[in-house]
Amino acid sequence: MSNSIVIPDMAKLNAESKNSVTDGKESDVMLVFLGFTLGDEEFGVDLHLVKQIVIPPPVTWVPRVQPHILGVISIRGNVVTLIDTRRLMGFEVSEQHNSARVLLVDVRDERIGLLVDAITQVRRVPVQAFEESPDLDEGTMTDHVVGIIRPDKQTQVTIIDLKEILLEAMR
Amino acid sequence: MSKSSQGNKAIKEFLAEAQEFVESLSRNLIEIDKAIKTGEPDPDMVNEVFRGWHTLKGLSSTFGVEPLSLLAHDEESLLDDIRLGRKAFTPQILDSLFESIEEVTKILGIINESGDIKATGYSDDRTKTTPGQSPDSGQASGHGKEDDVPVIDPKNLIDAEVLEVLTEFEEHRLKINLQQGQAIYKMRIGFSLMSIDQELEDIKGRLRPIGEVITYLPSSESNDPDILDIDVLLALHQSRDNLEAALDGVEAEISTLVPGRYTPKVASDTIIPAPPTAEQLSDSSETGIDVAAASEIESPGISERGLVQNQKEQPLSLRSVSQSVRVDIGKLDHLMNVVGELNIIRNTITKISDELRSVSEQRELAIELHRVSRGFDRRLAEMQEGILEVRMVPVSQMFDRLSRMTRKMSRNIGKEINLVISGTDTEVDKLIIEELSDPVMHIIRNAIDHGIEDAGERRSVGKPEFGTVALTAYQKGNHILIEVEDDGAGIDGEKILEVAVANGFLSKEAAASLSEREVLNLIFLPGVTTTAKANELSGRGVGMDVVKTNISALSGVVEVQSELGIGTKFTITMPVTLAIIPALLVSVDENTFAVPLNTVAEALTISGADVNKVMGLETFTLRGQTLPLCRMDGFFGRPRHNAIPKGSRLLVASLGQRRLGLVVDELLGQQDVVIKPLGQSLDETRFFAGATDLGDQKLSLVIDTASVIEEFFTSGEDFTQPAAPAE
Repeated sequence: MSNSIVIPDMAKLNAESKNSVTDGKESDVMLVFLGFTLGDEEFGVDLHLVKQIVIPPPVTWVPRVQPHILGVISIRGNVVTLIDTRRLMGFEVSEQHNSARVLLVDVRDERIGLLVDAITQVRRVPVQAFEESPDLDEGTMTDHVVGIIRPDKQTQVTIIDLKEILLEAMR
Repeated sequence: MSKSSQGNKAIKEFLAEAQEFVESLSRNLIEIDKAIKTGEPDPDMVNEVFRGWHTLKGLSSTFGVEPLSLLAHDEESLLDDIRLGRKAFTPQILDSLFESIEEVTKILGIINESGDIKATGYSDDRTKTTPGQSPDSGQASGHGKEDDVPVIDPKNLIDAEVLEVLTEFEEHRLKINLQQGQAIYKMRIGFSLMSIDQELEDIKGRLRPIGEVITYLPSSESNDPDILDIDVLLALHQSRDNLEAALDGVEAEISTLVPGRYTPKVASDTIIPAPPTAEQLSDSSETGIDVAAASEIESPGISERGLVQNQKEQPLSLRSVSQSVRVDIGKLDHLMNVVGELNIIRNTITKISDELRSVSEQRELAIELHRVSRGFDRRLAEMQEGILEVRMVPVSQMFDRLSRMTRKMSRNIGKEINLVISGTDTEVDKLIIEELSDPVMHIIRNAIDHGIEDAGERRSVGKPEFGTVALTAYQKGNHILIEVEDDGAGIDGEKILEVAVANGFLSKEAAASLSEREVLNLIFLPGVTTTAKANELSGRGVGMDVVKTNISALSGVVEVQSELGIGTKFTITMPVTLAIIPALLVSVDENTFAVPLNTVAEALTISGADVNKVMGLETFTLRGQTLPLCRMDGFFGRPRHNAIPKGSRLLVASLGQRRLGLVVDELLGQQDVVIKPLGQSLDETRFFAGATDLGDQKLSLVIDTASVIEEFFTSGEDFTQPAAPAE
């Protein structure tokens, strides 16, 4: 799907990268992701996809829905569906820690909450450092891996197409 | 994505105004349609339609909606011809006008959806297709009519001084009245400058029943600076005595410009000159609505009929001066949310005041706080009621649209339909009206297409040739009921069963065991239809299931009764509002849910010992009647206890004719709740009308009782059995 789409998109949307493009030096184009963890793996999503980050509010259980739907939460007076990102991505379910956060994203005109284990930081990498969709085992989730970045020697961040994953789950 | 909010606002304003125009226009057209069947339409009404199009033209060119202003321009000139008598108002022209309204609605729809005022994608081929527009057809008949009567030139009868100031339309109306031999009077009436508006309306109201006001003009001569003399030119359709009676208490200087062809005394005895008119009048007295329009045209000296007209006209003129504000429903929703939040704050204050009372040294303060919070409660309740009231609109908004569609449909398939509407004043939440239009339309469409037999068949069974569809609305407690009843062939249960079995919805054995009501309810299954051939209107077997889904989404139920050969009746039961509702708070497996109070008949305490079994299903005997039980924990997929624990609560849910006992753990109280919709991502669960904030920062789900009852009775699953051990 569309690493070719994702990259120019981000380059276009991000103010820093825009400036550098006008400079004419392509090497300065930066990609910006929000890093979060599930277990001991760090993931990254397009920063512009995330509208807000909140500490998990009390969750109301909704009976008879798919297992990855945790329930509903109240965000500024609106009812938002909260999704367990671990379950969504096929990870083991674990206990919620203090570091847990909810990412609010818009999918199909609806605001959705995604529960993640923790937020790491905003990751900026030059476009050359972006390893496009590496060869991975065939699988539903690996399909959604857009690429990999390595902000420093110890860290590796898997960039995923979160929107597509959500759309698939909601189908 | 991002549009300027300025532009958005302008579009919204334009749409709202144009929509209002469409509604009033179609109301007038429907009146004209009725009048046209018995005679000539009320010239005032025609003039109003003309002005309506004129306004729309102005509005659309202001906002740059070119196709709309072109369309309005065409219709404006057409109506100008009609009101000036250059064309007759034929049914074809009326059709074309109805079509134009559809067109306008379509264009407005496109603008609304795209949010772009230019994005109408409209091509103007309408002029070619509308028969009323062709210059010869309309004009020919128009002239033909005028030829019957010797043309009278007003110049010979009325001073040039008066004629000079008349507009073309007024002159035309004057001519028509002269041709009919009506007397023309000029009245000079003095009005106080302070209250001239009301006084003038009052005079017009008095004169309307007895004649036609052709024009009113301020007179040039005046003695008193605070008094404005106005000359009223009146074509009197009744005797001079009636005129004086109508002007009782008004100082008026009356002068006869042209004496009438009928002398007043004879007029009251003279029966209407031409035989067809007598027939028209007797016809119209049957429907009771057309009388006014008919009397307007030819009614020398029938004061009673004049009165009927007076009563009808009065509210029309009142409405035009009424003061109203258009409000976006979103803003009202926001206010309602604020009230909901205030309710939460109120609960907290009550809690604090209770706590304070237990502290002895704070007693005085506590009493004071209690008093204040009581006052706050009352005001809050008033405010809530006020906002709810604002959201309410009469169902006539929807019924007008429906009668327009019905008319079109009956012409399309060539069945004469008499749509009888009642209860138009019944008020419902604006949002419910919007969502309800389509389902009701679909039911009417089915009634006309499948229900009503064609004329020949009706004649052979001794029914009147035209079919009757009755559309009725009324309020019953916290619900409104909308009924669509036809006098058609009724639904053939055997046929329904056949189709349902053939489509594999149920086995032959199961089919045999169904009650009559259950059989009829099969029509709400997708794919079940009784007509072999599909046509443009209906018959593809899609529709009734959608009707049911849409109505359930609004927490309503639809039921059907039918008798073969007699007719079919659909009854839709809806809550009056969904904005804020009283609800019972219950707990199920330590989760709090809200159950709309209007769906609960009563609440009882229950324990395992009270339960009976019928074929393994848990039931409860309530005053000698068997009530099936649904354990909500099991229903929601939670592990159940073997027997219903002591102290559990039983809510007797009742909707339409169905009853079900909902078993919950605890009853927590009652509260008014503001329902907020769930996101699309939860579409898969139908059992909740939304969620509500009860003030503990945690949302509670609002149970959609109708869907629960529906699921309980249709799914084969048994929610009353003790669960298998929890995983």
